[in-house]
Amino acid sequence: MALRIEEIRESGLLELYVLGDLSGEDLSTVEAALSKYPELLEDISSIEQALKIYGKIHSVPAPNISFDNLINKPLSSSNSYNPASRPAKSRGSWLWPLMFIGALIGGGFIYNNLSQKLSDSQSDLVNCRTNSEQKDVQIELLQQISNPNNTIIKVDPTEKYPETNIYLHNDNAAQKAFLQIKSLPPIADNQSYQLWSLKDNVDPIPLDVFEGDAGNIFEVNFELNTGAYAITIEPKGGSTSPTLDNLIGVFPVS
Amino acid sequence: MEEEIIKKLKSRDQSGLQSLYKNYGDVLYGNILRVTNNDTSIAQEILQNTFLKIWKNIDKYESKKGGLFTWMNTIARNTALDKVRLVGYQQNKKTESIDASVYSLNKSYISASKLDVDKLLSTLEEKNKVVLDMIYLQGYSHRETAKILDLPLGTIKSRLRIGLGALRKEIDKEKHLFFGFIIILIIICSLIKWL
Repeated sequence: MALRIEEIRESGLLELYVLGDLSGEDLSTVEAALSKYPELLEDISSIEQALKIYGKIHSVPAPNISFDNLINKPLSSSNSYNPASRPAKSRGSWLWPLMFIGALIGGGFIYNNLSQKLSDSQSDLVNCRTNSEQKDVQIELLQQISNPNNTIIKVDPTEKYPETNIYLHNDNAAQKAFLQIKSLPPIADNQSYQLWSLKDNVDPIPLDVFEGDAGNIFEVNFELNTGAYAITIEPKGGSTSPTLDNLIGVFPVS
Repeated sequence: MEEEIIKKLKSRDQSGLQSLYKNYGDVLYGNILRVTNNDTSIAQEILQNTFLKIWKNIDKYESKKGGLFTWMNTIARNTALDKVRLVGYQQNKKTESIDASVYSLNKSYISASKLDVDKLLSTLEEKNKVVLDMIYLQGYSHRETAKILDLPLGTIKSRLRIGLGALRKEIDKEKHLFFGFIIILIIICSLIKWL
Protein backbone atom coordinates (compact mmCIF):
# COMPACT_ATOMS: atom_id res chain seq x y z
CA MET A 1 0.00 0.00 0.00
CA ALA A 2 1.61 3.27 -1.12
CA LEU A 3 1.11 6.09 1.34
CA ARG A 4 1.71 9.77 0.84
CA ILE A 5 4.59 11.34 2.72
CA GLU A 6 2.37 12.98 5.36
CA GLU A 7 0.40 9.78 5.83
CA ILE A 8 3.66 7.92 6.45
CA ARG A 9 4.74 10.55 8.98
CA GLU A 10 1.41 10.40 10.79
CA SER A 11 1.12 6.61 10.70
CA GLY A 12 3.66 5.92 13.46
CA LEU A 13 5.34 3.41 11.12
CA LEU A 14 8.60 5.42 10.94
CA GLU A 15 9.00 5.21 14.72
CA LEU A 16 8.37 1.46 14.68
CA TYR A 17 10.80 1.11 11.77
CA VAL A 18 13.57 2.79 13.75
CA LEU A 19 12.71 0.60 16.73
CA GLY A 20 13.08 -2.48 14.53
CA ASP A 21 9.52 -3.53 15.25
CA LEU A 22 8.16 -3.80 11.71
CA SER A 23 7.81 -6.79 9.46
CA GLY A 24 5.90 -7.90 6.40
CA GLU A 25 3.74 -5.40 4.61
CA ASP A 26 4.43 -2.53 7.02
CA LEU A 27 8.18 -2.92 6.57
CA SER A 28 7.82 -2.98 2.77
CA THR A 29 5.61 0.12 2.95
CA VAL A 30 8.27 2.06 4.89
CA GLU A 31 11.15 0.85 2.70
CA ALA A 32 9.21 1.81 -0.44
CA ALA A 33 8.43 5.23 1.06
CA LEU A 34 12.10 5.78 1.95
CA SER A 35 13.13 5.18 -1.65
CA LYS A 36 10.28 7.33 -2.96
CA TYR A 37 10.73 10.19 -0.48
CA PRO A 38 14.43 10.46 0.49
CA GLU A 39 13.54 13.42 2.73
CA LEU A 40 12.04 10.87 5.14
CA LEU A 41 15.61 9.91 6.01
CA GLU A 42 15.79 13.17 7.94
CA ASP A 43 12.78 12.06 9.98
CA ILE A 44 14.43 8.69 10.53
CA SER A 45 17.61 10.39 11.64
CA SER A 46 15.73 12.70 14.01
CA ILE A 47 13.76 9.80 15.55
CA GLU A 48 16.98 7.87 15.85
CA GLN A 49 18.67 10.76 17.63
CA ALA A 50 15.75 11.11 20.05
CA LEU A 51 15.91 7.40 20.83
CA LYS A 52 19.68 7.55 21.20
CA ILE A 53 19.38 10.37 23.74
CA TYR A 54 16.48 8.66 25.52
CA GLY A 55 18.56 5.46 25.53
CA LYS A 56 21.53 7.36 26.95
CA ILE A 57 19.37 8.67 29.79
CA HIS A 58 18.59 5.04 30.61
CA SER A 59 22.01 3.64 29.76
CA VAL A 60 23.89 1.33 32.09
CA PRO A 61 27.69 1.13 32.12
CA ALA A 62 28.56 -1.84 29.95
CA PRO A 63 31.04 -4.42 31.24
CA ASN A 64 34.46 -4.63 29.60
CA ILE A 65 34.58 -6.94 26.62
CA SER A 66 37.81 -8.44 25.39
CA PHE A 67 37.45 -8.14 21.65
CA ASP A 68 40.51 -10.33 21.12
CA ASN A 69 38.71 -13.24 22.73
CA LEU A 70 35.45 -12.37 21.08
CA ILE A 71 36.70 -12.23 17.55
CA ASN A 72 38.66 -15.10 16.19
CA LYS A 73 41.78 -13.58 14.70
CA PRO A 74 43.81 -16.35 13.05
CA LEU A 75 46.71 -14.05 12.12
CA SER A 76 47.03 -12.21 15.43
CA SER A 77 50.14 -14.12 16.57
CA SER A 78 51.94 -14.15 13.22
CA ASN A 79 54.04 -11.08 13.91
CA SER A 80 55.94 -12.39 16.90
CA TYR A 81 59.11 -12.81 14.87
CA ASN A 82 60.53 -9.46 13.92
CA PRO A 83 63.96 -9.53 12.33
CA ALA A 84 64.18 -5.74 12.32
CA SER A 85 64.23 -5.67 16.12
CA ARG A 86 67.21 -7.98 16.44
CA PRO A 87 70.53 -6.40 17.47
CA ALA A 88 72.75 -5.55 14.50
CA LYS A 89 75.96 -6.75 16.17
CA SER A 90 78.42 -8.99 14.28
CA ARG A 91 76.53 -8.66 11.00
CA GLY A 92 79.32 -9.91 8.75
CA SER A 93 79.79 -13.63 9.38
CA TRP A 94 76.32 -14.15 10.92
CA LEU A 95 74.43 -12.42 8.14
CA TRP A 96 74.15 -15.36 5.74
CA PRO A 97 73.16 -17.99 8.34
CA LEU A 98 70.62 -15.51 9.73
CA MET A 99 69.20 -14.82 6.29
CA PHE A 100 69.03 -18.56 5.70
CA ILE A 101 67.16 -19.15 8.96
CA GLY A 102 64.91 -16.16 8.16
CA ALA A 103 64.18 -17.59 4.73
CA LEU A 104 63.35 -20.99 6.30
CA ILE A 105 60.99 -19.41 8.83
CA GLY A 106 59.47 -17.15 6.17
CA GLY A 107 59.07 -20.12 3.80
CA GLY A 108 57.47 -22.15 6.56
CA PHE A 109 55.12 -19.30 7.38
CA ILE A 110 54.13 -18.84 3.73
CA TYR A 111 53.67 -22.61 3.31
CA ASN A 112 51.51 -22.72 6.42
CA ASN A 113 49.44 -19.79 5.20
CA LEU A 114 48.96 -21.29 1.75
CA SER A 115 47.97 -24.66 3.24
CA GLN A 116 45.45 -22.90 5.45
CA LYS A 117 44.05 -21.02 2.45
CA LEU A 118 43.86 -24.23 0.42
CA SER A 119 42.03 -25.95 3.26
CA ASP A 120 39.63 -22.96 3.56
CA SER A 121 38.98 -23.03 -0.18
CA GLN A 122 38.25 -26.74 -0.09
CA SER A 123 35.83 -26.23 2.74
CA ASP A 124 34.20 -23.31 0.81
CA LEU A 125 33.86 -25.58 -2.21
CA VAL A 126 32.12 -28.25 -0.14
CA ASN A 127 29.80 -25.57 1.29
CA CYS A 128 29.03 -24.27 -2.21
CA ARG A 129 28.20 -27.78 -3.41
CA THR A 130 25.94 -28.38 -0.44
CA ASN A 131 24.23 -25.01 -0.99
CA SER A 132 23.81 -25.76 -4.67
CA GLU A 133 22.25 -29.17 -3.92
CA GLN A 134 19.91 -27.54 -1.41
CA LYS A 135 18.95 -24.92 -4.01
CA ASP A 136 18.22 -27.70 -6.56
CA VAL A 137 15.90 -29.36 -4.08
CA GLN A 138 14.18 -26.01 -3.40
CA ILE A 139 13.76 -25.35 -7.15
CA GLU A 140 12.23 -28.79 -7.64
CA LEU A 141 9.85 -28.13 -4.76
CA LEU A 142 8.98 -24.70 -6.18
CA GLN A 143 8.10 -26.33 -9.49
CA GLN A 144 5.87 -28.80 -7.68
CA ILE A 145 4.05 -26.16 -5.64
CA SER A 146 3.46 -23.97 -8.69
CA ASN A 147 1.29 -26.74 -10.16
CA PRO A 148 -2.04 -25.10 -11.19
CA ASN A 149 -4.00 -27.96 -9.51
CA ASN A 150 -2.70 -26.83 -6.10
CA THR A 151 -4.96 -25.14 -3.62
CA ILE A 152 -3.01 -22.65 -1.52
CA ILE A 153 -4.32 -22.30 2.01
CA LYS A 154 -3.00 -19.73 4.47
CA VAL A 155 -2.77 -20.84 8.07
CA ASP A 156 -5.35 -19.48 10.47
CA PRO A 157 -3.08 -18.73 13.46
CA THR A 158 -4.35 -19.13 16.99
CA GLU A 159 -4.53 -16.12 19.27
CA LYS A 160 -1.61 -17.45 21.33
CA TYR A 161 0.71 -17.60 18.30
CA PRO A 162 -0.29 -14.66 16.03
CA GLU A 163 3.17 -14.55 14.40
CA THR A 164 2.54 -17.92 12.69
CA ASN A 165 2.58 -17.49 8.93
CA ILE A 166 2.53 -20.69 6.88
CA TYR A 167 0.98 -21.73 3.56
CA LEU A 168 -0.25 -25.22 2.74
CA HIS A 169 -0.09 -26.21 -0.93
CA ASN A 170 -2.58 -29.03 -1.34
CA ASP A 171 -2.78 -31.05 -4.56
CA ASN A 172 -5.71 -33.46 -4.31
CA ALA A 173 -5.15 -34.83 -7.84
CA ALA A 174 -1.53 -35.83 -7.22
CA GLN A 175 -2.25 -36.49 -3.53
CA LYS A 176 0.61 -34.30 -2.44
CA ALA A 177 0.93 -31.55 0.16
CA PHE A 178 3.66 -29.03 0.88
CA LEU A 179 4.28 -26.57 3.66
CA GLN A 180 5.73 -23.15 2.90
CA ILE A 181 7.06 -21.57 6.08
CA LYS A 182 7.14 -17.78 6.38
CA SER A 183 7.32 -17.47 10.13
CA LEU A 184 6.97 -19.82 13.09
CA PRO A 185 6.80 -19.13 16.81
CA PRO A 186 10.06 -19.95 18.57
CA ILE A 187 10.37 -23.34 20.28
CA ALA A 188 12.78 -24.72 22.85
CA ASP A 189 15.50 -27.26 22.00
CA ASN A 190 13.41 -30.10 23.37
CA GLN A 191 10.37 -29.32 21.20
CA SER A 192 9.26 -29.92 17.59
CA TYR A 193 6.42 -28.76 15.36
CA GLN A 194 3.93 -31.44 14.34
CA LEU A 195 1.35 -31.55 11.53
CA TRP A 196 -2.01 -33.25 12.10
CA SER A 197 -4.83 -34.33 9.82
CA LEU A 198 -8.28 -33.60 11.24
CA LYS A 199 -11.33 -35.52 9.99
CA ASP A 200 -14.91 -35.69 11.24
CA ASN A 201 -15.49 -38.28 13.94
CA VAL A 202 -11.88 -39.50 13.82
CA ASP A 203 -9.07 -38.80 16.29
CA PRO A 204 -6.44 -36.39 14.93
CA ILE A 205 -3.99 -38.31 12.74
CA PRO A 206 -0.31 -37.50 13.49
CA LEU A 207 1.63 -36.59 10.35
CA ASP A 208 5.03 -34.93 9.90
CA VAL A 209 7.27 -33.77 12.73
CA PHE A 210 9.67 -30.97 11.81
CA GLU A 211 12.07 -28.47 13.33
CA GLY A 212 12.37 -24.74 12.71
CA ASP A 213 15.28 -25.31 10.34
CA ALA A 214 13.41 -27.75 8.08
CA GLY A 215 13.62 -25.20 5.20
CA ASN A 216 11.19 -22.79 3.60
CA ILE A 217 9.29 -25.30 1.53
CA PHE A 218 9.04 -29.03 2.09
CA GLU A 219 6.73 -31.89 1.25
CA VAL A 220 4.53 -33.34 3.98
CA ASN A 221 2.32 -36.43 4.16
CA PHE A 222 -0.94 -36.13 2.26
CA GLU A 223 -3.97 -37.57 4.03
CA LEU A 224 -7.00 -38.27 1.86
CA ASN A 225 -10.34 -36.68 2.92
CA THR A 226 -8.70 -34.38 5.44
CA GLY A 227 -11.12 -31.70 6.65
CA ALA A 228 -8.36 -29.53 8.07
CA TYR A 229 -4.69 -29.72 8.84
CA ALA A 230 -3.33 -28.35 12.10
CA ILE A 231 0.11 -27.66 13.54
CA THR A 232 1.04 -27.94 17.20
CA ILE A 233 4.21 -27.67 19.25
CA GLU A 234 5.04 -31.05 20.77
CA PRO A 235 7.89 -32.59 22.74
CA LYS A 236 10.85 -33.34 20.46
CA GLY A 237 10.08 -36.26 18.15
CA GLY A 238 6.32 -35.65 18.13
CA SER A 239 3.32 -37.08 19.96
CA THR A 240 0.52 -39.53 19.21
CA SER A 241 -2.16 -37.02 20.20
CA PRO A 242 -1.97 -33.24 19.82
CA THR A 243 -1.29 -30.85 22.72
CA LEU A 244 -4.18 -28.47 22.14
CA ASP A 245 -2.68 -25.80 24.38
CA ASN A 246 0.15 -25.57 21.90
CA LEU A 247 -1.98 -25.35 18.76
CA ILE A 248 -0.33 -22.70 16.58
CA GLY A 249 -2.67 -22.74 13.59
CA VAL A 250 -5.17 -24.56 11.40
CA PHE A 251 -5.53 -24.95 7.60
CA PRO A 252 -9.17 -25.46 6.67
CA VAL A 253 -9.01 -27.72 3.59
CA SER A 254 -12.69 -28.29 2.88
CA MET B 1 32.33 9.81 13.26
CA GLU B 2 29.87 7.02 12.35
CA GLU B 3 31.17 6.90 8.79
CA GLU B 4 34.72 6.54 10.09
CA ILE B 5 33.69 3.67 12.38
CA ILE B 6 31.79 1.92 9.58
CA LYS B 7 34.80 2.26 7.28
CA LYS B 8 37.05 0.71 9.93
CA LEU B 9 34.63 -2.14 10.59
CA LYS B 10 34.29 -2.90 6.90
CA SER B 11 38.08 -3.04 6.56
CA ARG B 12 38.10 -5.47 9.54
CA ASP B 13 39.89 -2.97 11.78
CA GLN B 14 39.19 -4.01 15.36
CA SER B 15 39.61 -0.46 16.66
CA GLY B 16 36.30 0.34 14.85
CA LEU B 17 34.55 -2.20 17.05
CA GLN B 18 36.16 -0.72 20.15
CA SER B 19 35.01 2.79 19.19
CA LEU B 20 31.55 1.44 18.55
CA TYR B 21 31.50 -0.20 21.96
CA LYS B 22 32.75 2.96 23.62
CA ASN B 23 30.02 5.06 21.97
CA TYR B 24 27.04 2.73 22.06
CA GLY B 25 27.91 -0.07 24.50
CA ASP B 26 26.20 1.57 27.49
CA VAL B 27 22.99 2.41 25.61
CA LEU B 28 22.69 -1.05 24.07
CA TYR B 29 23.57 -2.72 27.38
CA GLY B 30 20.88 -0.68 29.16
CA ASN B 31 18.30 -1.72 26.55
CA ILE B 32 19.36 -5.38 26.67
CA LEU B 33 19.37 -5.39 30.46
CA ARG B 34 15.77 -4.22 30.56
CA VAL B 35 14.65 -6.87 28.06
CA THR B 36 16.31 -9.54 30.23
CA ASN B 37 14.65 -8.08 33.30
CA ASN B 38 18.00 -7.01 34.81
CA ASP B 39 19.66 -10.41 34.51
CA THR B 40 23.24 -9.17 34.15
CA SER B 41 24.85 -12.49 33.20
CA ILE B 42 22.41 -13.09 30.34
CA ALA B 43 22.59 -9.41 29.33
CA GLN B 44 26.41 -9.55 29.11
CA GLU B 45 26.26 -12.66 26.95
CA ILE B 46 23.69 -10.98 24.67
CA LEU B 47 25.80 -7.82 24.47
CA GLN B 48 28.83 -9.86 23.36
CA ASN B 49 26.74 -11.73 20.79
CA THR B 50 25.33 -8.43 19.56
CA PHE B 51 28.79 -6.99 18.92
CA LEU B 52 29.94 -10.24 17.35
CA LYS B 53 26.94 -10.11 14.98
CA ILE B 54 27.71 -6.47 14.19
CA TRP B 55 31.32 -7.40 13.40
CA LYS B 56 30.30 -10.34 11.20
CA ASN B 57 27.44 -8.62 9.40
CA ILE B 58 28.68 -5.08 8.93
CA ASP B 59 28.72 -5.59 5.15
CA LYS B 60 24.95 -6.06 5.27
CA TYR B 61 24.41 -2.64 6.86
CA GLU B 62 22.92 -0.13 4.39
CA SER B 63 23.01 3.49 5.49
CA LYS B 64 20.19 4.42 3.09
CA LYS B 65 17.84 2.22 5.14
CA GLY B 66 18.58 4.05 8.38
CA GLY B 67 21.31 4.94 10.83
CA LEU B 68 23.89 2.67 12.37
CA PHE B 69 22.26 2.94 15.79
CA THR B 70 18.90 1.72 14.43
CA TRP B 71 20.61 -1.25 12.85
CA MET B 72 22.59 -2.10 15.97
CA ASN B 73 19.63 -1.60 18.27
CA THR B 74 17.54 -3.95 16.11
CA ILE B 75 20.28 -6.59 16.32
CA ALA B 76 20.55 -6.12 20.09
CA ARG B 77 16.79 -6.22 20.55
CA ASN B 78 16.29 -9.34 18.38
CA THR B 79 19.24 -11.14 19.98
CA ALA B 80 17.87 -10.31 23.42
CA LEU B 81 14.30 -11.32 22.55
CA ASP B 82 15.45 -14.61 21.02
CA LYS B 83 17.43 -15.41 24.13
CA VAL B 84 14.67 -14.32 26.48
CA ARG B 85 12.11 -16.41 24.63
CA LEU B 86 14.46 -19.35 24.74
CA VAL B 87 14.86 -19.28 28.47
CA GLY B 88 11.19 -18.60 29.01
CA TYR B 89 11.75 -15.25 30.62
CA GLN B 90 8.79 -13.44 29.14
CA GLN B 91 6.25 -15.80 30.68
CA ASN B 92 7.93 -16.25 34.03
CA LYS B 93 9.34 -12.90 34.95
CA LYS B 94 8.62 -10.05 32.61
CA THR B 95 4.83 -10.04 32.52
CA GLU B 96 4.44 -10.27 36.26
CA SER B 97 6.66 -7.30 36.99
CA ILE B 98 5.95 -5.09 34.04
CA ASP B 99 4.55 -2.15 35.97
CA ALA B 100 7.33 -2.15 38.50
CA SER B 101 10.08 -2.28 35.92
CA VAL B 102 8.57 0.24 33.52
CA TYR B 103 8.13 2.84 36.20
CA SER B 104 11.23 2.24 38.31
CA LEU B 105 14.05 1.88 35.79
CA ASN B 106 14.09 5.38 34.44
CA LYS B 107 14.93 6.63 37.90
CA SER B 108 17.64 4.16 38.85
CA TYR B 109 19.80 4.42 35.73
CA ILE B 110 19.66 8.10 34.87
CA SER B 111 23.22 9.07 34.04
CA ALA B 112 22.96 12.20 31.89
CA SER B 113 22.77 15.72 33.25
CA LYS B 114 19.91 15.75 35.76
CA LEU B 115 18.48 19.08 34.72
CA ASP B 116 18.32 18.26 31.01
CA VAL B 117 16.99 14.82 31.70
CA ASP B 118 14.20 16.11 33.89
CA LYS B 119 13.31 18.71 31.30
CA LEU B 120 13.34 16.17 28.53
CA LEU B 121 11.30 13.63 30.47
CA SER B 122 8.79 16.29 31.52
CA THR B 123 7.87 16.77 27.86
CA LEU B 124 6.56 13.22 27.77
CA GLU B 125 2.99 12.62 28.80
CA GLU B 126 2.80 9.61 31.12
CA LYS B 127 0.55 7.57 28.81
CA ASN B 128 2.93 8.11 25.89
CA LYS B 129 5.97 7.41 28.04
CA VAL B 130 4.57 4.05 29.14
CA VAL B 131 4.18 2.98 25.50
CA LEU B 132 7.66 4.25 24.55
CA ASP B 133 9.25 2.52 27.53
CA MET B 134 7.50 -0.77 26.90
CA ILE B 135 8.54 -0.90 23.26
CA TYR B 136 11.98 0.69 23.43
CA LEU B 137 13.21 -0.07 26.91
CA GLN B 138 11.36 -3.27 27.71
CA GLY B 139 11.58 -4.88 24.28
CA TYR B 140 7.88 -5.60 23.81
CA SER B 141 6.57 -5.47 20.26
CA HIS B 142 3.86 -2.90 19.58
CA ARG B 143 1.38 -5.76 19.21
CA GLU B 144 2.31 -7.19 22.62
CA THR B 145 2.10 -3.68 24.10
CA ALA B 146 -1.39 -3.22 22.66
CA LYS B 147 -2.47 -6.54 24.14
CA ILE B 148 -1.00 -5.88 27.58
CA LEU B 149 -2.39 -2.35 27.81
CA ASP B 150 -5.64 -3.47 26.19
CA LEU B 151 -5.52 -0.69 23.62
CA PRO B 152 -6.04 -0.69 19.84
CA LEU B 153 -2.88 -0.94 17.72
CA GLY B 154 -3.59 2.50 16.23
CA THR B 155 -3.57 4.08 19.70
CA ILE B 156 -0.22 2.45 20.49
CA LYS B 157 1.28 3.75 17.23
CA SER B 158 -0.05 7.24 17.78
CA ARG B 159 1.12 7.40 21.43
CA LEU B 160 4.56 6.26 20.35
CA ARG B 161 4.65 8.88 17.59
CA ILE B 162 3.44 11.67 19.86
CA GLY B 163 5.87 10.69 22.64
CA LEU B 164 8.86 10.57 20.33
CA GLY B 165 7.64 13.75 18.62
CA ALA B 166 7.75 15.58 21.95
CA LEU B 167 11.31 14.36 22.57
CA ARG B 168 12.38 15.37 19.07
CA LYS B 169 10.91 18.83 19.55
CA GLU B 170 12.66 19.34 22.88
CA ILE B 171 16.00 18.09 21.49
CA ASP B 172 15.64 20.45 18.51
CA LYS B 173 14.93 23.33 20.88
CA GLU B 174 18.05 22.55 22.93
CA LYS B 175 20.11 22.33 19.76
CA HIS B 176 18.94 25.77 18.64
CA LEU B 177 19.67 27.21 22.08
CA PHE B 178 23.15 25.72 21.98
CA PHE B 179 23.92 27.11 18.52
CA GLY B 180 22.49 30.48 19.56
CA PHE B 181 24.81 30.50 22.56
CA ILE B 182 27.82 29.63 20.36
CA ILE B 183 26.98 32.44 17.92
CA ILE B 184 26.66 34.97 20.77
CA LEU B 185 29.98 33.73 22.16
CA ILE B 186 31.67 34.18 18.76
CA ILE B 187 30.23 37.70 18.44
CA ILE B 188 31.44 38.65 21.94
CA CYS B 189 34.93 37.26 21.24
CA SER B 190 35.10 39.16 17.93
CA LEU B 191 34.02 42.37 19.66
CA ILE B 192 36.66 41.97 22.41
CA LYS B 193 39.31 41.31 19.77
CA TRP B 194 38.17 44.34 17.73
CA LEU B 195 38.18 46.65 20.77
